[in-house]
Amino acid sequence: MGSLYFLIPVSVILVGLIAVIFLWAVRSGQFDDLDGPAHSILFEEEVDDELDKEPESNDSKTE
Amino acid sequence: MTINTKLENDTVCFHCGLSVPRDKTWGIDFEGQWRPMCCPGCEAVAQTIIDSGLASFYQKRTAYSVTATSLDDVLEPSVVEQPKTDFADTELLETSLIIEGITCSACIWLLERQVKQLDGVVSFNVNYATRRARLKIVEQSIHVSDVLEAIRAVGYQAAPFDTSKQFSNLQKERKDFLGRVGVAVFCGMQVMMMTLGIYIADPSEIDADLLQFLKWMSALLTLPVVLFSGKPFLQAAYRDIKNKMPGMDVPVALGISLGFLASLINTYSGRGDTYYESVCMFVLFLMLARYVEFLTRWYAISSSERMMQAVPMVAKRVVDDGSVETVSAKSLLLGDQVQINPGEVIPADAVVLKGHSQVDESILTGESEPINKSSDDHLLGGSHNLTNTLMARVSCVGKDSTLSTIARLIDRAHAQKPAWVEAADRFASLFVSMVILVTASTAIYGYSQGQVDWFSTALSVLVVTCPCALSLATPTAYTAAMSALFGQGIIITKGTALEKLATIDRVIFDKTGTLTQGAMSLSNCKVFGPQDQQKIMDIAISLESFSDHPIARAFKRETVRVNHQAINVEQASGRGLRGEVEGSVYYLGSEDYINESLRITLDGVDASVTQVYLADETQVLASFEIQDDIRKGAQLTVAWLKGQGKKVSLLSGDKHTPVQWLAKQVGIDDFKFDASPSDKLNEIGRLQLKGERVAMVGDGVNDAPILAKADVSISVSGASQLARASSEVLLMNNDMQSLRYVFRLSNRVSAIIKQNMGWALVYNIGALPLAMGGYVEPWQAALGMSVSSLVVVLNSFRLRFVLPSKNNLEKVAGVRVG
Repeated sequence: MGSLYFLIPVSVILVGLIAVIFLWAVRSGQFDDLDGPAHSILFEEEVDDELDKEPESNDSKTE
Repeated sequence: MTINTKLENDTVCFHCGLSVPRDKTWGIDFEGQWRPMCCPGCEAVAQTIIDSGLASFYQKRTAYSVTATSLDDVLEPSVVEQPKTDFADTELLETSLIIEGITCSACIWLLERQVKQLDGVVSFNVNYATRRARLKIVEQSIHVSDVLEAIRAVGYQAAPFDTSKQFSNLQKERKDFLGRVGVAVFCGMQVMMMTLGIYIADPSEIDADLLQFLKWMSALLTLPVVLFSGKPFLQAAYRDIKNKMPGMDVPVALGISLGFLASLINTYSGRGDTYYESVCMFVLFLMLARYVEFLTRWYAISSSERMMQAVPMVAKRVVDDGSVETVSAKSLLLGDQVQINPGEVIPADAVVLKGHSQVDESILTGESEPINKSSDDHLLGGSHNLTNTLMARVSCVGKDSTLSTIARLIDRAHAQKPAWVEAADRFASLFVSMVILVTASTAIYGYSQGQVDWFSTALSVLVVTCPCALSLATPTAYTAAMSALFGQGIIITKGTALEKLATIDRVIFDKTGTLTQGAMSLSNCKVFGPQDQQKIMDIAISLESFSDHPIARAFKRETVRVNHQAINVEQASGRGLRGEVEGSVYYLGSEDYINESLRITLDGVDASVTQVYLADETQVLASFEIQDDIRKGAQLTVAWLKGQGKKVSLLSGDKHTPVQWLAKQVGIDDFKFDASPSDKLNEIGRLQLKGERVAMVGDGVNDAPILAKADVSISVSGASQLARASSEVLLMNNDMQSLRYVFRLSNRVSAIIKQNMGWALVYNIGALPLAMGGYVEPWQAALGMSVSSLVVVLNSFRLRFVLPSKNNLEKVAGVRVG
């Protein structure tokens, strides 16, 4: 039981830390757009693929 | 995949989905196929998108884009103010843009790619939820107007957005809510964990020191919940008491602060109970309920569609030497001379100096027919110039302008709104006063009798009777219904509207833009006789120019090649026309009319489309198919409303014939025409005086005052911003059938609210004597309160399942049509 005297204050300090980090995240705008990134993550990948392919296709055209 | 096949239909515009006019050849060659376009604007936009290597936008999108406007005039850099740099040491500029025309998430992709391609743009992020973007640019290398131009080139409208407005306040409020809820969740969880340990352990198992330690730790964790998360309740209660109008917040704040203080005292003295976990859960649940309510409001306000439509951003001012400069419309002064080109919006109320043109004032007056304007005629700011260039002198700016006047009318109508809400407030404050009175007398009685546990009894009374379930009864039902409707593209801005809808006696529809959309058009022309198609068309157009029937407008939109003069034209009361063109007699009209006049029977008549026939004295020469402009689902909705025993009326500023025709088409018996906005206002006032509860469905700026005055106001998709601002229900969906869901759900909402109220009252009144007798411990009271609230919340949650899935609804609708 003695360990509780150590563990509970640790958990309280952790909660305090979590709350501070959460408040920082909210205020710095991490939760501003909850819909957009969910969609854009799908698009971004395709964009990268296209960027890789684009120079090749351009080359083949010029040749 | 289904979307792709649906979107790539040949008769509609590839870019925006509008129907493509006959005999027009706009379009582009894309992926080896000819893609037709409805207008040069869409064509240019699609070309730009494909040329910039962003063609995969057309695969990604899940909805059509908005119709592109003409790109003739170039935005002058002087019109758009370059924002001031925030950081003294860098050359970076940061600004907010508001973007109109975003229809699906692929639009975000397109916009971000397009703008990031520009030189000098450091970052550009579009927020899908709010339709706003943050732009960061290098000051010297690019001007904000270049970015706006690039956005316009791919078919969107953007404007610099003043961050000091209402929106940023809302954004702040949301962050505030999130933070408070989060802190309550984290700290409440810890408190609950420790309390659970105390609950399940046998009293002998925990030694006194450890128990005391746990209680102090709980107190420490509850402190931020009370002072930070619960601050809005405490503040509101303080305000209520200062205004001597106690609302629901007063007992909540009392319960929170008394519960916490009593726990602190008991912890300090080491005797008696503590209620930390009750306090935490209490704050958390109430905060969550308020947050969800706030979210629905937030969605409603941040939908920015058509925000900038009514007043244009730029005006063309004529300077002294006769040249024209582009200025922002706001900077126009009284007496300034402006030039208004065809297709442009008139920047301010003005008087015509030179030129004559047709002007569409429908957004302000509801009058759908273009009006001829020539010298000395008045122009309304916000209306549309259609045919020729006009020179005009600004006659009215700012507060006196027509738009501002309408805004004032709305304020007046709001003030006259039936006072539903106040009644509910008075009831709440009466109830709350009673609760406090009962608690205080219990405490005083207990103390005077020398009871040891007088405080805990009084606290139990306060917690038990705390009208928590009662106060949740209505908002949770609203919230559940709102989110169910939100999924169907319907936004409720005021929860009370749902309750009121169930008691509505009469639904009034506006005509232009509400029951009808856009304009009628000719979709198909079949020629039976020997003449060629253009000749037939010319004859039909010249005959129809004598008619003010709505179908005639479809013909008037077509271009004539040879203008024939029709003589001796006779009209047969909205069914057809008879007239002479070049010596021969022609008949033009409905199937019935042709049958009657010529005594011949037509075969192959398709009853599902509106058709008009042209005949000479012996035979039928051609048939024209007319594409209807009636809003989807309007007929079904009217029929359904009548089936529910509601009265349905049509109130329009338009002329007799078109209003009568439309009323017949959608099945409305009661219609009024030639009604000005103030006529409509009076009409609603008259009905309300008769004791009827009236719901108004409208769209235009001219409907806004009426919407504000009606008991429940509903605006349809594509409605003007002013109309939206005065509406409680916004239908974002093009389909009028959404209205049916709203009505159906509103019936369920009022039933659920009654159940909730009944349960809450039974619980509160039943538990009160027990608590006063001292039979209820505070923790039992808190448990009872939580359980009764939970019952209310779960009961309300059933509303989410009322609406069937979209497929089922379509099936039902399909059966009805069949």
